[in-house]
Amino acid sequence: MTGKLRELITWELQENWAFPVLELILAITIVQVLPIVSIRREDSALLNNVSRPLWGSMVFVFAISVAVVFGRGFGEAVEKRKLVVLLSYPVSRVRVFAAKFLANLLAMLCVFGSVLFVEGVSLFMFEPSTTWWISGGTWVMELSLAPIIWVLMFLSLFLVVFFTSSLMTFLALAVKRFGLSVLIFLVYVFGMEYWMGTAGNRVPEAYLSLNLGPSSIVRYLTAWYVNTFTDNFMGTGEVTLGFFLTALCYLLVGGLVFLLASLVLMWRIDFD
Amino acid sequence: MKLLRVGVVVLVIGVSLLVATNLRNRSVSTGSVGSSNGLFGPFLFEPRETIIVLLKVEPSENLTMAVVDQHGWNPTQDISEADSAFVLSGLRQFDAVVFRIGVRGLYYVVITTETGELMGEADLAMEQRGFAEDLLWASGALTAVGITIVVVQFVRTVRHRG
Repeated sequence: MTGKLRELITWELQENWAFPVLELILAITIVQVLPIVSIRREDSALLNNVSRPLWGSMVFVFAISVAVVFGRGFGEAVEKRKLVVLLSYPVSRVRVFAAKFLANLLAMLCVFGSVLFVEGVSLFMFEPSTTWWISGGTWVMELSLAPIIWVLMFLSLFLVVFFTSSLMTFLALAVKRFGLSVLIFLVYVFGMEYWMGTAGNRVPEAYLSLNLGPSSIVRYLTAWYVNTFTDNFMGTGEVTLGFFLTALCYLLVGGLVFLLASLVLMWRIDFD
Repeated sequence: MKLLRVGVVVLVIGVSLLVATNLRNRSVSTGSVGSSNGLFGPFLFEPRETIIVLLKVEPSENLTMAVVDQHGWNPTQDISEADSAFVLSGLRQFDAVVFRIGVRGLYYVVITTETGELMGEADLAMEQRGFAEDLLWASGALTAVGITIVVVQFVRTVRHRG
């Protein structure tokens, strides 16, 4: 990492994560994530009692945090002409964009990731448990996939934060206003949650939700892992390949598209 | 100024953890005993004080509850041959049992009727008080450290200005 980029990232973190932004995001995340408990440690229980409620309770935390952090980082920076001042120094627009986006994305992932890590440790997900049962008079032993499910939850966390960050960055640069971009973003995210919630879970568009989407990715990939790398079988429930791809493409491709669009906007935008 | 910020962040984490611990300290339905759902553990820090409440059991009287190590239970599935870590007899529906497991491992909760037969199905609530206590201590310690840093920094700032 070059010296200039590192300086820009440090400046962005000091400016954008000042009191009380970090404190509020940390507090809300801890209160939302850590109360999720499951005494049962089989794979299905971890998927239903840990993974699914986590995304449901975290939607508004993702939405509010990303809206505030990226809205301040880009929308407010344009509105209050901080970007104009920053660009008067010998730094390129791409470098400023990369520093702002990376700093906020990584800080966001650190906060959410560390709380998810503590939650996993408290649920002993780093350690697979063994389950025994009798089948046709024979004892069968199964090793729980808790660590795999935990890793997949981190993957889904990255996808959700990446998508929402890219979308919010695009909106902030497109409308050049903090308040308006936050409003549009929140209306979009919560509108989609409401609309997808009414669609049920048997249609692909339901998986465009930030609640159902990540949990379906965790469930499908866990089942895929079991069916590919072990001798056991795990069903995917209502999540078909189409539904899984819908969720994955929406978060990953959607995030990439909005990121590239934001980069183009940053390149061509008139700050005056 | 940086130390003050660290103090505020630690304080916020401590208070949030306190709230989360309070929310977390709830009973959780464990499902059916006798199936694999009755298995619990292993735990990070032993011994753990565990409370089990017999919410719904049939028959509802003269029950015996045993906590048996996985290795002791699996070969025979016979409670008389297994070396139980904890046994209590004469239990009824809605009774609460508090016990400690001294050794780290995987355990079955086995409930038998008066005649010694395994109970088909039961609804239990289980809570691990030890873990909740750990979280409580951690949140209290973090809160105390946070308050100390904030107060010390505040006093130093006031003295500096004076």
